[in-house]
Amino acid sequence: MKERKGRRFLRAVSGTALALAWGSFLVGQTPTPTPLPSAAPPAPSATSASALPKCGDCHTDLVAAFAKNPHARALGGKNGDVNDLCATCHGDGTKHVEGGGDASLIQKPQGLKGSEDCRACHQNAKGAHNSFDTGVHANTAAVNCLTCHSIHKAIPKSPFLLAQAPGTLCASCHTTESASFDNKPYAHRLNRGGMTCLDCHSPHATRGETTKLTVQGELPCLSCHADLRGPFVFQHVTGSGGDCLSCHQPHGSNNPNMLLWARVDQLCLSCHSQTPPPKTYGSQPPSFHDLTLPRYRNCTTCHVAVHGSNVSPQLLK
Amino acid sequence: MRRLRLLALPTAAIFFLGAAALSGQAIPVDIELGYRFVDVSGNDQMYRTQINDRPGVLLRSLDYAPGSLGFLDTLQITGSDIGAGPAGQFRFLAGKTDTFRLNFTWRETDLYSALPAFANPFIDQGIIPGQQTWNRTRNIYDVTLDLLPGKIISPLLGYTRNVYDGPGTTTYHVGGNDFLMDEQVHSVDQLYRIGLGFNWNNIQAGFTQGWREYSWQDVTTLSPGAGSGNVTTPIIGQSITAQTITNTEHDKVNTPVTNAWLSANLFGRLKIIGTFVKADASDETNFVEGDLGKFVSFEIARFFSGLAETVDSKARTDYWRASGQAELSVTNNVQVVGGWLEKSRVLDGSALISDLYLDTVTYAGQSTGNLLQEITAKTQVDEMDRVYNAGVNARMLGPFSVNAGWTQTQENVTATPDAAEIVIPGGQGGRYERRVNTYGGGATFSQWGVTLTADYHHDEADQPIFRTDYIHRDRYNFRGLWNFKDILKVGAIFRETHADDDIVTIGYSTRIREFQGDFEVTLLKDMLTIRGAGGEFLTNRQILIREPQDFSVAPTEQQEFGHNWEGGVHFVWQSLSLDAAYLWMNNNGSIPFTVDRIRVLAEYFFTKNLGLDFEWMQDKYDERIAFDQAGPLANYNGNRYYVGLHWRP
Repeated sequence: MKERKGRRFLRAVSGTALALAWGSFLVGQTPTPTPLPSAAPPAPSATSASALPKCGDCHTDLVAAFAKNPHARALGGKNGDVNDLCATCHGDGTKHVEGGGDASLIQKPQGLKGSEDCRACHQNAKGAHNSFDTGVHANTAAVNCLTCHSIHKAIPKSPFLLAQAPGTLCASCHTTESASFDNKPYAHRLNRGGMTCLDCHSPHATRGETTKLTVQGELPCLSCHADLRGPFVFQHVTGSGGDCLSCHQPHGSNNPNMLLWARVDQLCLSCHSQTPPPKTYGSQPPSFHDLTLPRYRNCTTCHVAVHGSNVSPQLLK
Repeated sequence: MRRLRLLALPTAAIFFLGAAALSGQAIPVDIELGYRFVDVSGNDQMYRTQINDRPGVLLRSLDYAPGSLGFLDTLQITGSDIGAGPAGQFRFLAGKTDTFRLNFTWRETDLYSALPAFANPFIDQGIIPGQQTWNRTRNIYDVTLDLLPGKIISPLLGYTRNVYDGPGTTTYHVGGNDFLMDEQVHSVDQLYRIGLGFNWNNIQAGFTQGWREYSWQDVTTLSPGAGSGNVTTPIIGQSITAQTITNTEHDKVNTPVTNAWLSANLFGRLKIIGTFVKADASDETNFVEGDLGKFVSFEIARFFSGLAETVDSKARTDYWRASGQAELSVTNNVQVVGGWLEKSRVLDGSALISDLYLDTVTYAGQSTGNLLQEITAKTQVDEMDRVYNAGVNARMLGPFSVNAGWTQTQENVTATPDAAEIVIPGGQGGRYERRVNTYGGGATFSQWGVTLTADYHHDEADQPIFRTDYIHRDRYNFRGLWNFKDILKVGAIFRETHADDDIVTIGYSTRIREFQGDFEVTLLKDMLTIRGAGGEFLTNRQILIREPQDFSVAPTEQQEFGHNWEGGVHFVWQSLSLDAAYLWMNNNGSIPFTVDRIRVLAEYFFTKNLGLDFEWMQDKYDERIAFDQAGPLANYNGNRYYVGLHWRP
């Protein structure tokens, strides 16, 4: 076993080394630059720039803070001067300067129009099945990049320049989901311990693909609940036509263990009843299961391995 | 002791930062550290099941984000809720643009469950909690190293470790009785992964090869004093009791995982997205059981005084999932979409179950000695899903955007009969097919601070696979929001789902209705804001079941209907900030209860850099009497008081 692990490790290391070598070869090569927003003319020339005050001369704090912004790091700037980058999104500021700082004479990316400027560089939504054109949060007047992201006022802990914490942002529209987490007695500990909506959902995904799958292509439940993944010799619903959501509510729930039904016997028998036609997938419990007795109404008292078992066909252990 | 260990890493970070601060450096750090007091009356176990805030030292928040340090141009250390739990996280992010990015996260969650009415055969006698409880922790560590991010080729290395362990109680059914068992679980799930990102012009791709190793160890032993079991009445004239029961199970699963995706923008008009996942898992399990006592088995029609069981089993799944989607921009604002998704999962399982029944005796009292029974069980499940979709999106029609689409889902499940059919004939094996067509669309409008959204989807299936599969389903969703100069925000959402099967022998029907409205008023900008929300929810599920004891058909119904209200205030004045909220909800359904919640957080900075935090959180859970539920036995009133310092030099 150790030998096998060792070989696996060697394979991993050699693979990494190869990848690094190839990466190093390409390190100097950068992707073809993406054109800047069409609305933004080229930055002022060095001559004109030297003749005019720089953005940071007035907007001192803003420009100083922008130096730490991922955009500043990615785009660089002439001789590392972030003042050279402002025009990328705000356009030529000459008239704004000549107008004594008149706010109406500078371009401020806002709403859908501003978000389309974002897309001039971020035209591709990185990741599988992401899309800014057709996604569930496609760039529209109702929801766009700047609804959730803020270039200059992102919250400090946000990795994606989010304007607010993920839970707060999502809750601003998805109020029923938010209320179910806040009010119902059984719920995942959202916004505590690092868990956010983004653990299970992809905000940029295409329609119908908003649930974020694991690297194995499974529901995100199994990212944490790895012990329920299987495979099991005696499989229950998971992996045989159903999934976690066949029995559980993923958001807030009124029922213990976040089940769809308050009574376990009713949950189980909703599938495990043979009342054909038509024939459906699920066996009928034999007659000694006397539902007039509480022992039998609590199905999981005996059938403890409801998620699947490798040792008991009846899921008893 | 464990808590102290958990605090070691962030505490070291704080000392480091503190030392740096004393040496005169400006440190971009923000730390909240304090102590939480807990006062619970009523059912403490229910409080822990639902809330589980524990007393103790709590690092509420740690945030160190200098932006750059030395050769690093990205450095961020964050943490929250570390210490008293029940859920904490720590994150370390470091990087240098175009060179590397290292992301380490650690999450810890305390998992506690001791429900009064779940898995409880004695709830009608007022004995609580149920027999399946746990008090465990889950620690998830993840480290990802991205090399050359943003370059044409960017390698990736990653490792994830998920450790779940701790004690609990469970039930074990053997020899005609059910026994309360103590349980100790330890499982480790590890995923090693290596990958490459590709980013060239308008083509992006990712490839990840992973190796997952999972191990599970579960040891259960008869709980002290539980030898009488749940059945105290004699069976065929004999009391069924246990002296010892010990079960030990070891599982190991190895899963190589391949994940690849490609996204390409071609000719400025066509976007192609493709994904592929393959994960073939193989499990090996060894189980050993040793029991002594007085038991009965209807399967062998004998009494017996002990059982020695071994199970060796293997399970293998071959899983793959592939999809492709094309998005064609007919004009700059209109996209036509078409896609396909297919996934396949084939399970092959086998188990050799060897049971040695000791000192067997017939019902008539004749001794028949030891009896060995061996069963070889084989299972196979073949599942294949195929999904086609097509749609059109117009996302910039002035203030409007619209979309419409169609999806067809084809589900196929083939299950071979397994050993369960020896005991429970019918219903396990067979081939099941189902086809669902979904039509739907939506529209949004956003102008003058008003946003309106409407969606409707209709699903039509040919037949069910499970009894709870619908034949017809309608989903409606409406949302409205008005934002008046950031002074007043008013929103409302309404959602309704109808699902039915129209099959008289099943009678499945579900109604879900949710309404939620909210408002926020800024009375004094940056100083005083009040907000409130309220809603109504209704869930009604109905289905016919066949009751096993007499095979009669009976209707069952799950109901949830109630309201929720909340109101809050946010107030800031000079160095004082105050947030207070009251939340209330009631459910009049199958489990009738009322929840009252109070949240108060006050913070006062008595110097520029040092503040005092106080928090009071109250959760009251009041359950009313209902059939098979705990009623007032579940009630609790949990108060938590947190006092801490907030330091931001």
